[in-house]
Amino acid sequence: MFFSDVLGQELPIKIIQNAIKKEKCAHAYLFVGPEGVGKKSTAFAFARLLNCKNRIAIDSKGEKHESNGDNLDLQDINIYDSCGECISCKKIKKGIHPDVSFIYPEKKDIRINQMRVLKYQAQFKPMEGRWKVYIIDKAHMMNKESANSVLKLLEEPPDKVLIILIAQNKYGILPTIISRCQVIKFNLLPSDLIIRSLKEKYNIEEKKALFFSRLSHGSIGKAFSCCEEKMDETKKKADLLISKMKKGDFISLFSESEKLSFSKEKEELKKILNIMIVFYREKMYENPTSEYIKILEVILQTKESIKRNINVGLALDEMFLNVNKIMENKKFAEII
Amino acid sequence: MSYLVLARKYRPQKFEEVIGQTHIARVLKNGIATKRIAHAFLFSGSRGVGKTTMARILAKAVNCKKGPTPQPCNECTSCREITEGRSLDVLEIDGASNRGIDEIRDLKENVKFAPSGNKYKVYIIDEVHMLTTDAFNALLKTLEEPPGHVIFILATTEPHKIPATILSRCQRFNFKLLSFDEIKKHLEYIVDREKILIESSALSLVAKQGAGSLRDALSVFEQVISLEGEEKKEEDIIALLGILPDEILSKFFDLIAENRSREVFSFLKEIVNSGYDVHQLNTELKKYFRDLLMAKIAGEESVLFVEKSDKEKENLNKRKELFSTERLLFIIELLSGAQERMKWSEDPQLVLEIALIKLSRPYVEINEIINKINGLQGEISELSGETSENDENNEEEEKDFLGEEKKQILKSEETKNTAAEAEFSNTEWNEILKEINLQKQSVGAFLTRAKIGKTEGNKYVLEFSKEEMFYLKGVEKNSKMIIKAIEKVTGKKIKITCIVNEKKAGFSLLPEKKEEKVEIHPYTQKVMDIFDGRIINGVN
Repeated sequence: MFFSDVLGQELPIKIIQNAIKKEKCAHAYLFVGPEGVGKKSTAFAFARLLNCKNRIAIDSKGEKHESNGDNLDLQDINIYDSCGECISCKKIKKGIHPDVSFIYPEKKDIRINQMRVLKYQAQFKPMEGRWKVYIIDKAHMMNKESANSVLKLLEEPPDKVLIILIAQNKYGILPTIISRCQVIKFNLLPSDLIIRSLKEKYNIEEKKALFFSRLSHGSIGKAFSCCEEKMDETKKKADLLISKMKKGDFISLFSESEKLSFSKEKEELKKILNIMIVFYREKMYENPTSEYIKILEVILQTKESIKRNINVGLALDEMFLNVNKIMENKKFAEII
Repeated sequence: MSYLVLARKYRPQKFEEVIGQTHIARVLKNGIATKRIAHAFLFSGSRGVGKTTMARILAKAVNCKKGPTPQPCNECTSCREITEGRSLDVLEIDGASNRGIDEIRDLKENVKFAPSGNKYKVYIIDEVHMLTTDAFNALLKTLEEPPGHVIFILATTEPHKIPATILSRCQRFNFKLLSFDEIKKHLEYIVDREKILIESSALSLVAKQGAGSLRDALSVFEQVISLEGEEKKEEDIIALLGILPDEILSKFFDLIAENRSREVFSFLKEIVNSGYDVHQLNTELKKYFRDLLMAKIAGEESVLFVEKSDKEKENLNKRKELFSTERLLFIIELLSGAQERMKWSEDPQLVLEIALIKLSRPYVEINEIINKINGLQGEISELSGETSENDENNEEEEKDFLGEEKKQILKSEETKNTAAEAEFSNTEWNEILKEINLQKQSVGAFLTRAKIGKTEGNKYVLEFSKEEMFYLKGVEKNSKMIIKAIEKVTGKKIKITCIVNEKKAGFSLLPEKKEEKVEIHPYTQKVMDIFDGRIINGVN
C-alpha cells in the first residue's frame, strides 16, 4: 500500500507526511472515520514508510528521488513514500513483518490478553525494521479491561514504538485514550470522486456508478465491494418490494418477508433495506415532505431492530404495512 | 532518544510547575515541610490534568537526597532515577493491567522489605479504578497500616468506582479541570521554548480544543506544529481541525429560520462534500441554538457570555427574536435526539438530514393550536345554539357536528321511543355501563347484548335471542350487582327479569351497525370466501 493509493484523504496524509518530514512522529495516533474511507490503508502505508529501506521522495514536480531509508534534505519534497520492493515492504505486504502487528477483535471484542501480548512484545527493540508498529483495528471494540490496560503504554511507550488505533467514531473510545493520541479525522469522500474511480476501475456506466456512489454514501470501500458483488439481483428484488409496497400487494409481500426471514444471511436483507433507503432518500431530496421522512424513519427503525436480533419476519411485515399506510394516506404521516 | 511528544517533554518536575493545581501542591508541600506525610493518597480528576505528574513529583520530594523537601533538587541520583523511571523504590504499577488479586498479593509480599537506598518506597498505582473487587479488598489491610517506609499513591479518572473502604483510608485530592487561560499560558510558554511562530488567536483556538485538559490541548498543538509554513495561522488550524467556520453555521441558521428546508439539504450536501464532519456540525448547531436560548432567557449581557466577543453578542441579540422559546426548545431536543442516534448509525448524515428537515419546517406553536381549537369550539356552540331555534336544519347540522356513534344513538332513540320510554337517558345508560364495567367488565359486555323489552312500573324485561343464552345467564347471575349499579347512578330501584325472545324487538343498548357502511377489503373478502365466514364486528 502506497500513500498514493489512498484516495481523497489529502489532509490526513498531509499531517502524517509533515510529521515524518520534520521527524516529529508521535507515538500514538487515532484514526477516526467511517468505514471504507482508507484508514487501514493509510495506517499500513505509514508502517511501510517508517520501515522502508529505500524511501522514495517525490518532489512537487512529481520526480522521484531515491534515498537510503532516510529523509532527503531537499527543499521541495512533496511526499515520501515506501518503495514497495525492499524486503521490509514486501514482508509488510504479506503480513509477516515481525515488527508490524495488526490487531483486530478475534471474537466479538478485543480482549485484555491480546493487549498483554502486545505490551510484552513492545518492550523489545525492533527486530528488523526501525519502528515497531502496532495497528489496532476496530479500537472501539476493545472491552473495558483491555482499553484501560493500554493506557499506560499509550502514555509512555518504549522508544521506537508506534501505535495506530483505528475506529469508526470517537464515542466508543475512552476519553483517556483519546487524550493520549494524535487524533486524525478521515472524512467521507465526495460522490464525484467515487463515481470517477468506479468508472476507471470497473468500467461501468454512469448511471450504475451514480447508484453505487449513493448506496455507499461516501465510503469508497463499500462502493468497490458493491461493484464486486453482483448487486443487480438485489436491486431488482428491492425495486419489486418498493412497487409492491406502493400497491399494497400484501400477500406477496408477506411471503417475501417470510422468505427473507428464513435465510440466515442478514447481509442480503441489509442491502435490500439500504437500496430502499437510497430510493426514498432521492425522493426526499426532490420533495421534502413528511411522507418520505416518515418512510425513511420507518426503514431506519427496522434496520436498527434487525441489528438487535428481532423477529425479522415480523419486523418486515410491520415495515411493509407502515410504508403502505403512509403512501396511501399522507395525513397518516403527520400523525405517527 | 527519539522525538518525544510535548506532553512528555514538558512534564513538570517540580510542584511549582504543575499548572492549575496549586491548591493540591500547596497542601502536599506543607505536609512535607512539616514532616506530616500521609501513607496513602488518592489523586482523582479528569484526563490530562496532572495526576500522574503530581504523583511522581511527590515521590521525588520524599526521596530526594536533600531530605524530604518540598523542592526536590532534580539533580541527586534519587531524583534522576525517578525522572528516568528506573528507580527501584518508586514502583509505578499499571492498575488496569495488574488488576487481579494475585498481583496485589505479590505487592503485599514486597511491601515488607525496606527500600534500597532511599527513604521511602513509593507505590504509584495508576488507573486504580480497574482493580477487581477482590484486589481492592486484599489491599485494605496494607493500605490501612503499611510499614513506615511505604507510601501509596493511587491515581484514577473514575473515583466513583473505588470502594468506600479504600477512599476512607486515603488522603483524597481532587484535581480540577484547567481553565482556558491556564492552558493558553502554558502553551505560550512552550511556544517560547520551542521557538514556534504562531498567531495568538490560533493559540486560543488550540487551547479551546483542550476543553480543560492540558494533554488534549498539547496533542492538538503537536499536529499544529508539524503544519507546513513558518508561521501558523488561524485559518490553517481551522482547516486542520475541521472546525466549522461561523459563516457556515450562520447560513444554516438563516435557512432554518426562514423554513427553507430544500436549501438546507443542498447546503448540507455541499458541506459534507467539502469534508466537514456531520457529528461536529450537529454539535455546533446545538451549541448555537443553546446560546440563543440562553440569550433569550438571560439576556446576552449575562455571565454566560463573558467569553463571547462583542460581535458575537450582537449577532445573538439580532437573532434571538427570530425564534420563540418553544421552538428553540423543540430544535434543541430534536438535535440532541439526532446526536444520540447518529453515534451508532451507519449513515449519520441521513439521521441529521431527517432532523434538519423536521426543524426547518414551519413551526406551529402549541398555544396557537389551542387558540384555534378554542375558536372552533366557540363556533360550534354558536351553531348549535342557532339550531334549537331553527327546527328545520336541526337534525342535519347536529349530525354533521357529532360523531358517527352519536348519530346512531340518536337514530335508535327515535325509532324505539316507546320501549325505551325514556326510563333512562342515553347518558345515564352509559354511566350505568361504566359503573358496571368498573366492578366486573364481563357483566358490562353481557349487558350490551340485551334489549330492553316491556317495562311495568319498576320491572324491566331484558330480551335475548336464542343464541345468546350464555349472555342471559351471565346477566341473571349478576342481576343483583346490576340493580345496585343502576340504583347508584340513577337512584331508581328496579327489578330485572331476563327472557328469551326470538323477535328482536326492543331497545338495543348496543348501537346498531350500519352494515352497508362497512367497507370490505378485497383480502377480507378472500378470507371470507375461503373460510365461509361472515363479518361479526368491523374494526377500522
